[in-house]
Amino acid sequence: MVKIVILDESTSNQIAAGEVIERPASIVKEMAENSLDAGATSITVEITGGGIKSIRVTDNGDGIEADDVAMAFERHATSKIRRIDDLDNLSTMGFRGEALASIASVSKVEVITKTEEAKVGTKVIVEAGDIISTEPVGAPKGTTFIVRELFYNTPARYKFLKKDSTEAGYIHDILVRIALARPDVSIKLVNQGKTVIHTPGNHDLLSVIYSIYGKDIARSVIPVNFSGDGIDITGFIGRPEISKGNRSSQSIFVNNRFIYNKIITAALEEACKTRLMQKRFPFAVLKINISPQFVDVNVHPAKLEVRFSDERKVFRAVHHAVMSALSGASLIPADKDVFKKNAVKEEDNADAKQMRFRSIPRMESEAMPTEENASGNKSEGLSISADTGNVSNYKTAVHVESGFSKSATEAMQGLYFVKREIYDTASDNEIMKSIAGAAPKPGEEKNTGPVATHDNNDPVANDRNKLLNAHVIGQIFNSFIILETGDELLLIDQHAAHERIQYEKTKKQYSEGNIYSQVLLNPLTVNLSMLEMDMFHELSRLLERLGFEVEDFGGKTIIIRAIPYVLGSGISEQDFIDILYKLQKETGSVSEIIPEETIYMTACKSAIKANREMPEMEIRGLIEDLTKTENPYTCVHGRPIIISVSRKELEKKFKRIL
Amino acid sequence: MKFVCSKHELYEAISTVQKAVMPKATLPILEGIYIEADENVRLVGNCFDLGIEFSVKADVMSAGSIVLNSRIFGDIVRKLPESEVFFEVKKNYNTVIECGNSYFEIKGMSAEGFPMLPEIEEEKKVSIAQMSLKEMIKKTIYAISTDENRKILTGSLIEVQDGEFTIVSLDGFRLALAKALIKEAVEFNAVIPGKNLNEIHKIMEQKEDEVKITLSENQALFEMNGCRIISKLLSGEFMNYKYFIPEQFETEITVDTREFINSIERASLITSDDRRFPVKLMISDDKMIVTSSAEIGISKEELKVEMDGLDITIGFNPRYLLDSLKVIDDEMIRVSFSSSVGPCVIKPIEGDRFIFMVLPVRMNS
Repeated sequence: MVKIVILDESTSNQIAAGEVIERPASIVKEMAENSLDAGATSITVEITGGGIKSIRVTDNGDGIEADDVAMAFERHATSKIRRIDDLDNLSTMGFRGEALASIASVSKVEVITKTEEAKVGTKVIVEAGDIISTEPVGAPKGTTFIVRELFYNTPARYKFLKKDSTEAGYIHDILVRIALARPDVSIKLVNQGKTVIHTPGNHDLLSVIYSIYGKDIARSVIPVNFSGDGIDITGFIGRPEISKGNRSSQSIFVNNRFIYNKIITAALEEACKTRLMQKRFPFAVLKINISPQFVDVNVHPAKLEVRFSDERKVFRAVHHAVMSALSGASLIPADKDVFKKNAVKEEDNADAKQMRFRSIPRMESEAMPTEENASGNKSEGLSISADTGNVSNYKTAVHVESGFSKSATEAMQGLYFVKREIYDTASDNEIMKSIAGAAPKPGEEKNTGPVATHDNNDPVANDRNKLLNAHVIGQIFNSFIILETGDELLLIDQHAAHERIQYEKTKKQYSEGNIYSQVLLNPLTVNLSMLEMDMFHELSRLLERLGFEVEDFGGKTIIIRAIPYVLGSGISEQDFIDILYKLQKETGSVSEIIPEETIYMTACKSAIKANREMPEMEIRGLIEDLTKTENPYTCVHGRPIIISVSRKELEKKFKRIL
Repeated sequence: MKFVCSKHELYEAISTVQKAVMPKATLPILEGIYIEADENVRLVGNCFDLGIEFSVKADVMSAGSIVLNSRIFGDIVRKLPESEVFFEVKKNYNTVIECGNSYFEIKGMSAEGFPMLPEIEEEKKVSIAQMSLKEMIKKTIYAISTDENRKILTGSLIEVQDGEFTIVSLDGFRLALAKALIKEAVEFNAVIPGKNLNEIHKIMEQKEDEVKITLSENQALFEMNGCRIISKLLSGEFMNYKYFIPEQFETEITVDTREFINSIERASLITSDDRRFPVKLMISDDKMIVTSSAEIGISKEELKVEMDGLDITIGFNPRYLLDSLKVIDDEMIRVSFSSSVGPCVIKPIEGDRFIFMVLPVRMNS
């Protein structure tokens, strides 16, 4: 018989390390989160050998008191909570007090830290959980954390590490999430001496997206802004053209914590449905703020999952936020040059590498969060430079222009743009300073002011007007319609357009018709889970209104005696359960219970095909109907309906301009 | 192997056994028709769910067997001129098909390994006139369910009991039953897949000649006109259909079948665009008003009926009513309603050669 013993501390720490520390990326995550909790505004992560050889995390946060440093390596040592009740109002990233102890137990760690008040810094060396030395050292405010030879004492775990480049990739992903979560913090990743990520830390999420994903993505995102039901959602959703074949470009943050959550992803994708092709996933950076009381983060040791006390509410909020962002934005894929036409007053900065954002149209009526940020930006920018002490130069560039030179019409509609520019002073120490625009110059605002009061501030309405007022040139290949409007040529796919019209019409008809129920010959009994049973009780009145006749049959069984007439071909047990889930999330109109394919099919079949000649009268009718649809931009399968070619593009093609 | 037979008969045999050949199979031999010459020529197709053997009168010069690809063999024979076909298997399974001035030589396969039809041990046997079985299948097959989740309902129940031969099909919304009397005193129950029953229906002829049905544990054999058909049975318990058929009715009418069909067809013109609107029947004072309304408009039509019982207003999916009514040859029928939300039963004026039942649509909005 083997005796049962309590494990010694270092063994138990090594075991516990397995939960939190899986790979170098876990260390980066824990350390960076500690830095954020310490109020850092700049975090630099340098790695070699994919982080297995070494990781160095430098921040300018509060630092740790000299006396506390040793204690920080004890298990369940934390400065972030005191009692379990504090979890309910948690605002820091960490709280378990496990990370440092875990990291230290499986690697060689060196910490250099100094608080604001302390005269000197402290350097502590820890190996395999034992403190080797503690000594005073000269250091700037903040903490530098160096981890070497990860898993050197746990070969089993070391074996499971992947290639250096793969591990570096994981670290990259972690820092991307942190950077997106915290636009107010400058995040930098240096891999083998090469800067891979560098965000400005200027409070502007779009700047972060720009620095991480590049200008094409940053140009193709639509701001999301929603507030209601105790949930605030901000962020950006990508236009259909930058969707991806997987979910890797979706970043969801709940209370600034990156998480995976099926409810939110489902809501996001549901909202993009029919705007995206099948098997395409939208680009999204969504930040959801919800009172900590309604969300449980203590579900998973790596804190990647959360639970909501009211999932339906979250689903609806996200769905609505994304829907209204998409439906409020013009989704006509334009050729890229359109945006370059904005006359930009270049600052006298010719040799500096320059990045430019696509201007964000800002209407006076729109309360954008960036607006608030903008006022705080300048001081923030200054504080970063003070911290790092490395500023070479920075410039504030503010341009207020009374219009998109793209088309005269839009200028009339009174758009004005605040252009932001980030100057990368790469010539000196790869330090990028970014400065965001403050308030528009007073003089210019006067010019734009009166024009901007036009109530026509909806890009979709603009597109609709544009379509309605466009000059019909005709039809080509008996398949596409050509319109001319301002300085733009619009091409419309006649089948896609008609299909969209028919789809929305059919869907509406289904929602509006009388409700009839087909009585079943043999009532269908369905066994539900506890959860589904609760859903059933909650939804039973709605089900009845939709034409179901369902009774609780005792236990977890229900019996269906009649089904909505529109579900003519009958339903199976599984169909009914699917409907329950769907109704729980959605608004509850009849159209929700009809399989989407049925509506697609009807729409597709009744739509005119390509290769069909259309007289002008019919073209005008089609365009008029198209402008009445909710989403005139993509057909039900997500293909574009309208594409635009600018006059400038044509002129370029003909080499009239270069 | 060598024989001569008429193109017409050979093609009839091929097209019959082709119904039991897999159009696409991983083994080439399963895409083939087995041909055997003995005293007669015998063709076999077998896809395991269904197997068909058909005999052709032929002048056999030498016996033997071969398997030929069903599609190419069928296509060739179909296009041959109406004349005598000369068929010979040479070396390496090369098969010559000659007719008139056309000559084909195609590659065959060894008959070894072809799945021959299993022998059915005679357990229970029943005989019925072909035309009678054909009629019963026609009257019931439309009500077979297409829901693969409830497999048993994708077939029809054949029930033989007390000198009655009954076929029943039902899906979630309606039931169809047809009955005939037989002399034999056997009891037997089998559920035949609808797909196979459909093929059997096509092969049977409008003749008094009997079809002999033999039942084993999981297969049924149908024998007629020199043709043997083996169908697998669907396993499981068929629904106790008798339980569904009501016996008490609030309202009963006698109506002209043709007029009833025409009025429903006219009413469903309005609703035919999509299947979102039922047809409504309003019965009172010896008349029935058939009406429908949809976005595009309404329709209304009055029919004279003989009526017993209470006034009633009831809705139906017009397709379900028409499916039933269209297989009826009787001039007049009896339609009974148990209530405005209960089943409606359609029967002949006299007897119960058939019973059709359709579940209504609740009209309250």
